[in-house]
Amino acid sequence: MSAFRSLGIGGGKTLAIAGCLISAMASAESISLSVTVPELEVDPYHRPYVAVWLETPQRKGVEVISVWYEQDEWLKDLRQWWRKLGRADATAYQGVTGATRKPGTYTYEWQVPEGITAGDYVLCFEASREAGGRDFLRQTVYLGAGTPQAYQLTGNYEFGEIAISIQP
Amino acid sequence: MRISTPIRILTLIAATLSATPVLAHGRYVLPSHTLLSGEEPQSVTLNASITNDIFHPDKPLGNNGGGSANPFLLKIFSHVTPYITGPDGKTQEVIELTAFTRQSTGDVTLKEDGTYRVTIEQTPTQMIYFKNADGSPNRIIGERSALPPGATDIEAHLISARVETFITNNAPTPLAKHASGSGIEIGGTAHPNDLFVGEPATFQLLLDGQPLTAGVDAHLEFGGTRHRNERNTQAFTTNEAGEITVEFAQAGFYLLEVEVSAPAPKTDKVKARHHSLYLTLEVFPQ
Repeated sequence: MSAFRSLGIGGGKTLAIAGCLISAMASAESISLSVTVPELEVDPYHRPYVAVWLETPQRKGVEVISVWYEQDEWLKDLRQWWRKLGRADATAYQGVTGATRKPGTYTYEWQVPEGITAGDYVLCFEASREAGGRDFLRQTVYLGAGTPQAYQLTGNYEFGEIAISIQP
Repeated sequence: MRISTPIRILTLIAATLSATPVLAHGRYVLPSHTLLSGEEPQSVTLNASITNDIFHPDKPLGNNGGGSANPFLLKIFSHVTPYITGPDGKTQEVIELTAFTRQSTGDVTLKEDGTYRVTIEQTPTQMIYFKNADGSPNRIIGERSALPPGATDIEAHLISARVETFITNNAPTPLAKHASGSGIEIGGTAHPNDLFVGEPATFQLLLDGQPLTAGVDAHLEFGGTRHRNERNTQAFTTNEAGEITVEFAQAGFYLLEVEVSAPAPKTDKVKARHHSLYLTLEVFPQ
């Protein structure tokens, strides 16, 4: 599972990874994600729990991409992720978890696992912050297209900008 | 027992009597949490009340935890058993509820993964309506032997109720495991701990383990009736399979009420049997 591990843990903001996206297999697409945790003028401030995952358009959970959290007692507050993937099997996300992050922009790359059939999927981004709010953003993507795709999402409060770039 | 005779709502029968029984009031059990995660056992606090304002307590409901209540309520509470059923659908543990002035409170601890069912069950209780010798209406809980001299217009009813909610620790367990086969309960495809705004949920209503027939009324109210002018009760009627499909407009706690009355077998020596379900549901935003 180490190939799916989030990059940027403990590193500076905005890790440049564009140079390492060349994939040997045409089927093995990779998705570059850039997620901004916004600065919020609130007191007390707690870092958000964040989950990123892939669903089918019928809202069936497919794969966990990344989860930032501190204590499993509060994983349930990532409500959509928890119901779709989290609560079913903790081993399914053990390799992709990390600590919560301070405000900043974090980029990481996700190698689409082999065995995922071509078609429409939905990338989901959920943030939940103690004593704060919740944000849930979704983007429909086509996997297996063989052409690059790029999307930009803007969070409501708990997320800033989210950039999605899919390289065949 | 399969009910094939026409089914009526308890409140209709209550309305034909001059005395409205306390037990026709709304009731609820409100859990502090319905969803839990993590490896450690976790506790949930329950508040239960007999009230007409949804989730705003008025009178306690249950007392096996050393609280106090007036004699009439204590008499009711002697027919009330609070218990939690584990994810295996079998293991049951008594919940200790302490009566306070306005509500009963207790804790439950969830050690296993899966769905727990919280039940405050009122076992069949005989309620006798009558007129005093002077013609004034009255009612007692218990046996005819307790009726005052000169009582007239005596009518006995057998009342039972389930006041329930569900709590899930990590992954949910299918509802079918929890079917007790007694009184009114929910089954069906929807899970009470997986309810979200804008997603229709289909529940099947069962009476004594059998699906209810078509045409049974169910009512859904959003919590906080005390702080709005309209109750905004949503009414549903079961289809041939005894199902209702509910869609939630906003996130929060809801109370689903189902009441079914049926003529009692002659051996019961009562006019009718009444069953009710008061189910608390928590709905989350998308």
